[in-house]
Amino acid sequence: MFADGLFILFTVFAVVGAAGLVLFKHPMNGAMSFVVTLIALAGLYALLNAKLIFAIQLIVYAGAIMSLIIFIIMFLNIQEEDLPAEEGRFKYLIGGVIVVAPVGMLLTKAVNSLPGSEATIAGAGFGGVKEVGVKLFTEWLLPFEIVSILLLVSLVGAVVLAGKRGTNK
Amino acid sequence: MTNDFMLLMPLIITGVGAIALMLIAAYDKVTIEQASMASMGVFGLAFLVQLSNTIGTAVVPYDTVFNGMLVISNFTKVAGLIILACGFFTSMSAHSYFKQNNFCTTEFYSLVAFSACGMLLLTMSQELISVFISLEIMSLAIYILVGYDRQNKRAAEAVMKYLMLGAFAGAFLTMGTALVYGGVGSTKFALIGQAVAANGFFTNPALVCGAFFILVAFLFKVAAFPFHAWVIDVYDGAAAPVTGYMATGLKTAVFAVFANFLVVDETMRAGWVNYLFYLSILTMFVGNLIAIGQTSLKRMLAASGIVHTGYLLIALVAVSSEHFSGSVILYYLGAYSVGTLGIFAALSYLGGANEKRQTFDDFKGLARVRPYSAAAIAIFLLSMAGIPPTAGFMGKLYIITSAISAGQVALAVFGIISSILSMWYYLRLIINMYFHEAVEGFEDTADFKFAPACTFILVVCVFAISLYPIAV
Amino acid sequence: MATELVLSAIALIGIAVIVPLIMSLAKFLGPSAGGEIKNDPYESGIKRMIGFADQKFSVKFYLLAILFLLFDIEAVFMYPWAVSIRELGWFGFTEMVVFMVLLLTGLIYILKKGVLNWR
Repeated sequence: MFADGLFILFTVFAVVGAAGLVLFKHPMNGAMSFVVTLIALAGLYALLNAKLIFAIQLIVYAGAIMSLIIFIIMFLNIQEEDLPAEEGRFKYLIGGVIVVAPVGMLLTKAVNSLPGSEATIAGAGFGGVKEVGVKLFTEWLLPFEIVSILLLVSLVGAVVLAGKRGTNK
Repeated sequence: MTNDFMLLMPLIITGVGAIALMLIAAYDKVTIEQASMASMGVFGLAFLVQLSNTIGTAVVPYDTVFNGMLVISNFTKVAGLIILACGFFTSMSAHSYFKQNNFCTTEFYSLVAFSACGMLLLTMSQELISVFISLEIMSLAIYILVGYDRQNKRAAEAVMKYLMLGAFAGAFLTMGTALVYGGVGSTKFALIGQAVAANGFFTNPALVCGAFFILVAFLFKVAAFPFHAWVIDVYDGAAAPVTGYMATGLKTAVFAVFANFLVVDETMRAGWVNYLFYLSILTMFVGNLIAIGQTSLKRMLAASGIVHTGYLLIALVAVSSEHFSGSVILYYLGAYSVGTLGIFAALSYLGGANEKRQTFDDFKGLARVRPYSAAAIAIFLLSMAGIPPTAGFMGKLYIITSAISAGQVALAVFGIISSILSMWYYLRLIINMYFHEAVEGFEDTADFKFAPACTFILVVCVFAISLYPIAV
Repeated sequence: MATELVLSAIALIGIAVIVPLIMSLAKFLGPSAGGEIKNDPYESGIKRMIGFADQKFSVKFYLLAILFLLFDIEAVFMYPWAVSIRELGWFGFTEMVVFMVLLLTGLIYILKKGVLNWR
């Protein structure tokens, strides 16, 4: 029961943080609000018993990726006067809500139809570091290996787009 | 039958080739001309190996190691051949393109090979998470290629739009994957098919919603109707060889996985056919409307790419999941790729420094000055318009006959109407090239070897493919 | 439901709520005497700091940050592998070697390319 309350609390934090990310005018405030979402998600993972994902969410997302996002905002050196006026943003917001509403209703219906918590997909030791490791490195070998290619592509891309170019011969 | 290792060999060759090109780039000893030849070598070798593999029924290579996530069939083999050929011809036309445009480094070819690697994986993956990662490998490499020219503001705009909307599509794909997993309990195509066969499709809202999101992602990537708006600016902003590669290789890979996903179960396919029916009609006509209004050649070709997506959607509507071969889709993709790659190869060397020739007017009287190039472009355009005896005509013929035999007569009629409409903008360029006095001499485009050779080979391919019969 | 995870979830709430709460309370409850000299940053005798906190960074920082992130993700995959190495055996070892060799080529690339040289 206590855990249910926590779950709802984290959900509220996650949604409020995401709303702040969209609604704050200055990107830095948006990024800070996004941190709330990321930490709240980590809390949700903890409540779902996913220990490894909980740790990764905090280390990689709330740590490394957030600092990268803040770096990028710092490069741009956005001052108050650089920001666009955003007139009638609430009009757009309401319009967007109306457009997205059918998708939201579809999603609600879909999520409601999912098997509830009484269905046990979580065996003993579900979400533990060791259990995830064994599953990842036996059943999910292919996605794991091709992630290395994905990382290589992003590495080359970062160097090509942001690094200094070699000489053109 | 070839053994599992050889079946994966083309993928390994492109992957290792991409890494080798990346390392070569770091050592700074190789010129970009040599790098482009190395890239051609990689693609050529992989193509030959792929061609030499014989596959009977669908093979699951290294079933226990990869847990059945890769499936290789004749469908994926031919799709792979088209992708590798696209990579080969792209490297070839880039060789000439970068003599006039000065922003190339060796990493360019490495990224072309990396994205081909992702495309090959995409055709073979039969599991949604692998599909997502391979899609991201492919898209990420393509984003970088689009924005490769850092000095060019239009390229920066193009990559920004593409990245934002592409990330949106990726988010739809992951959301769909999560919902499908929630509804079925697996992300493997085979198990999804079994679950649908056992419990029905529309009785499972999570599965329907998940499949819907996944289809949205695929429709975005192939630029079908409601998600087509990005394609014009992105194709326009990218360098000519990259645009050719995007329009052909990427589309082939995504249509392959689209077809693979659609035929996991007949009820699931039947559930979507009605919507795909309207989407394919709208895609064709919206594409035609956009194309007619364009003055820039690249923008016109981008819009005509939307129209061709419409035809391919007709072919998807007409596939059956009982005895799926996908030969019609692949034939059309092959014919379309040859024509598009050919035009972009020609644009690569005729475009001039910094792609200064862009509009229809810039190519006025090309036939007087460069008769062979003009003839090649005319053949590619006629093939894309669907004039016999070209590959494009045969491709459209197969699509329309397959639509009729699947009972979709209305779709066949709309396909023919759209084909007639598309003559307008294809013939406009031909008229510009042939029935006008030359405005300039195209002197700066005389001394290239590779891109003209590439157009010549592709002209031969246009006729060779049209002679190749397939069973519908 | 593992107790330690519920506890760590509570700890997260503690971080998210209590820390900002205390910081904002200190603003109201604590004594505050403003003044230009007091608010001035002081750094080992250097009187004036240069510029503002949100000044522009060089894009080189971004490159380092993203490279750190990539290898961070590589390292993250090694946690579950290291913990389950006995169950996975040589098979797991081989796949991790393949993974690391692929990323090692990336490391060689950036080293030889001189991306890490600060010039």
